[in-house]
Amino acid sequence: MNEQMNRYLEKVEKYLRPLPAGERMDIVVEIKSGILELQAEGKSPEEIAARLGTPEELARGYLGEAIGKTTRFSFRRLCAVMAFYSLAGAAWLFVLPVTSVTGVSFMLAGALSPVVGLIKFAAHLLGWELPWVGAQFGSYVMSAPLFLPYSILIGAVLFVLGRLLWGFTVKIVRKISAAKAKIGG
Amino acid sequence: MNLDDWKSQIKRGTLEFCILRMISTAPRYGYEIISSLEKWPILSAKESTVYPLLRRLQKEEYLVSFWQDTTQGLPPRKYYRITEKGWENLAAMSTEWENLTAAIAGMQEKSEGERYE
Repeated sequence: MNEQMNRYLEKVEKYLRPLPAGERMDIVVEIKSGILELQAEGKSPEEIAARLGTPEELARGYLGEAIGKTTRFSFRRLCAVMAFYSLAGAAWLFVLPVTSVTGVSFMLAGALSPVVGLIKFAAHLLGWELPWVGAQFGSYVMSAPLFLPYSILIGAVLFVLGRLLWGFTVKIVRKISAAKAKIGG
Repeated sequence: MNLDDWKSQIKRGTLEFCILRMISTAPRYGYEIISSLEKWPILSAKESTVYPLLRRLQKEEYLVSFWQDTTQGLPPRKYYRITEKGWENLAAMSTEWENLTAAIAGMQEKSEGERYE
């Protein structure tokens, strides 16, 4: 029985890998204490297993709580999302990494664009032209003073787009955790 | 919407409130909370719901936890105690809850519990 319990707890720990080691330990110790409590009540291993659900379900409860609560961007949360769904395997395995990675990239590009515009504009004021920075449409090359507002606009558009993609990622995650981690009775 | 979905949504929306209430009367451990909830089928929740919820309430600083040894040869238990912030949250939730139940009761009064054709 206890060997079975240890195997179960090891699996839970594996699925919790996106969380910091200390937290993982704490969770596993608490679950173990709960299992021993059930054993002391005279519950059979089968009954205990039925109550706790699979290690994946149990771990999802913790990760769902950690991931789905806010739409604010956090790199740790991104890692947790990707790591969990890589481990758990799901139909969204393809969609989620794409939306989260493009979301983050767009936000980053959006933030960088005005910086580049400023650099070109500053260089222009100092009398240097930087031909390797700027916007070009066919044979038309945009001048530095014009490129500055343009770069800010493009940056804003990219950032908003990235933010939307990130929001979409969080929404999917929430939907999945809501659908799968239904409260059982 | 079927009744089971509706019941599970009620549970989802009230579990946090119920658990805070339970812990406000005395420090409690996870298994104790789960077995108490089992007394009311509408509230009964599994380990995979209650343990993560306790952890979140702790992260949000509504609860603090401490380990305590037991006497009957059982392993130590992780107890949860309500914090000052938890009390404030519980008071606010209780007010909202009273608003809700008063509103529902008020609706019934107007129709006087009779069906119209």
